[in-house]
Amino acid sequence: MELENSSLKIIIYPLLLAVVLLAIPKYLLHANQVYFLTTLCIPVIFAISYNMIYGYAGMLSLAHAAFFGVGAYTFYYAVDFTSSIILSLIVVLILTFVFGLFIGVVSNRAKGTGFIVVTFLVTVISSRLANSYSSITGGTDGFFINLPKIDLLVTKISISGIYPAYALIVLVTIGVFFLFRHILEFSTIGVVLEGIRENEERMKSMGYDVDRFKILSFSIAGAFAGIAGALQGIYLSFLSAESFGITLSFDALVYTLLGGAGTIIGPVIGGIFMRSLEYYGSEFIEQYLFLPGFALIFIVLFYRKGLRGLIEKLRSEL
Amino acid sequence: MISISIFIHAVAWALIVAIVAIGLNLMFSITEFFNVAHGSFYMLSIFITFTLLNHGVNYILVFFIVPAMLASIFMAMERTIFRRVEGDVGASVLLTVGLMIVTQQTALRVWGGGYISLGAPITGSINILGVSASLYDLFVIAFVTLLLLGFRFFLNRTNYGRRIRAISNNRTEAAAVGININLYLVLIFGLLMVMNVWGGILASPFVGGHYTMGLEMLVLAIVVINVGGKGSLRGTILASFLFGFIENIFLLRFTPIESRVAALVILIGILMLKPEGIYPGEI
Repeated sequence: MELENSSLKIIIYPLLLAVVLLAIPKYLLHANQVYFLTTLCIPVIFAISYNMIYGYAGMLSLAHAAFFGVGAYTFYYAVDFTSSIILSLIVVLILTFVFGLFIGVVSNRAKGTGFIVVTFLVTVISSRLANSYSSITGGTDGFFINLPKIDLLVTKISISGIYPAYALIVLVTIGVFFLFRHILEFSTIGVVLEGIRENEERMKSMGYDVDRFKILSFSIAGAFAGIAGALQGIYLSFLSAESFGITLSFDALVYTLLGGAGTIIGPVIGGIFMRSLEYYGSEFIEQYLFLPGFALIFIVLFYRKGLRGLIEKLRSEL
Repeated sequence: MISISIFIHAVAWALIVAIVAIGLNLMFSITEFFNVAHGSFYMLSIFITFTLLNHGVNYILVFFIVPAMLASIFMAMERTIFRRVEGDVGASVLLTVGLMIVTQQTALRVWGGGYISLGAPITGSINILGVSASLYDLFVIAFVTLLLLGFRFFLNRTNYGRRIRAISNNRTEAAAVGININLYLVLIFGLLMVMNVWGGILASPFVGGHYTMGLEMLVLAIVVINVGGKGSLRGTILASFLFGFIENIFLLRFTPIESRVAALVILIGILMLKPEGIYPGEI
């Protein structure tokens, strides 16, 4: 049956994906496999949001780790305050969006390499402060999060088990994926951002308020990086100042580039691939971070289009 | 008076930051190659110095072997892989971020995740007109000042330096008048790496060693060159001094991390006011 109605598609695809991703682990997979799938979701959300600013708008931001950390800690304090996970996630979304607006306005004043510098410094400074003020952040020892039950009107679900946490996180991930797909492929923002990446001056002379679009996309992406931080808090039930780690910003870059920047599915592939590589690689070598390093060098030298480009090339040759 | 010896120490530290940052700045302004791994070589120089000294190698020998070693590795990399991304800032950032991660993890594997500390080769202090100054600080100031003057003379007064500046101004024209671009780029990359490594060796008694310290220095260098202006020697030096003094003034009342953050924030403020830096576009 051909689905012609696009509004129907918007509902049907995510639902199908959700059913598949919820049913298979429930009946077919072991607990630690479900846990592994959960850990895959965080890099995927992180990369999807980063792709919006790097892949689409062409802004090489290194501030993404700061959003991750701010999101994680906002979630911790919001859960403490509201004792509701859903409400806390909404608070995270709003607060990291506002934080993103602030950082976006400041860093957008600096052009070119200045932008990279300022966003890098945002990450450096926030990581310094997080490690320094350990009474607020718990330092590297961190805090445990007491996760409240989710109130679904008829019943309350405890999120502390592996499967419920997986279900919540995977549903959010699917939601984020389709939201970004919608924004970037079917709305004006995506088109304008690509225009900015290709030729900023032309977009300006066509009458677009380029700065506003850049800051807006920067904040939206930041808000969802914050959600990634909050979700990590959910499945670990723990957070520490390492949520602000500088390497996280580089990770976002690696995921996006490896999968293929500026495509919808690229960062998803990149995040899943790199996370699996780290997960299985860490069994063989203690310093598993070698892998993203070598991956980055390899991509830049030999394959700028990333894994997605490779897949497409193979497909066209077969 | 205690504040004057602190002042002398701040000068020594600022000069070290300056010679590291100049390397980053000139590589960037000459070839549009932004070397994020610059700090990693700084870190490697400290660890290698540490290892060689522990094996009983003479300090003076180490002082010349380590730069030669790291600079030749760097020059080989310039010939083989950096060449492919020169002229493309984004690609060079990505490539050298990869290189930085690999170098860091190598250091972690070889030397472990702990802190190391190195003693100063010259100890003791002297009194000049009632002011006590550490001999090592004075040695650093003297050595780096001579190095910077020599480098400035090399860039401005010798034919080699003039050709390098010509390449920086217009690469195609420089090639058209018969300058061997590949040769001169390797030469200047090697020289800048030697300065960077010396910065690391000189800084080692002040900062110790840790596998993530390269990033620390990279942050300082990035801020300093952006505040100073792309390609500007005196801008870089001036900004290093600004940074060193602001940080040391804050250190009188605040913790090291707070002082560093405060100095970074002030320099970002300057960057907001003068996005092009203090002395833009000169070399």
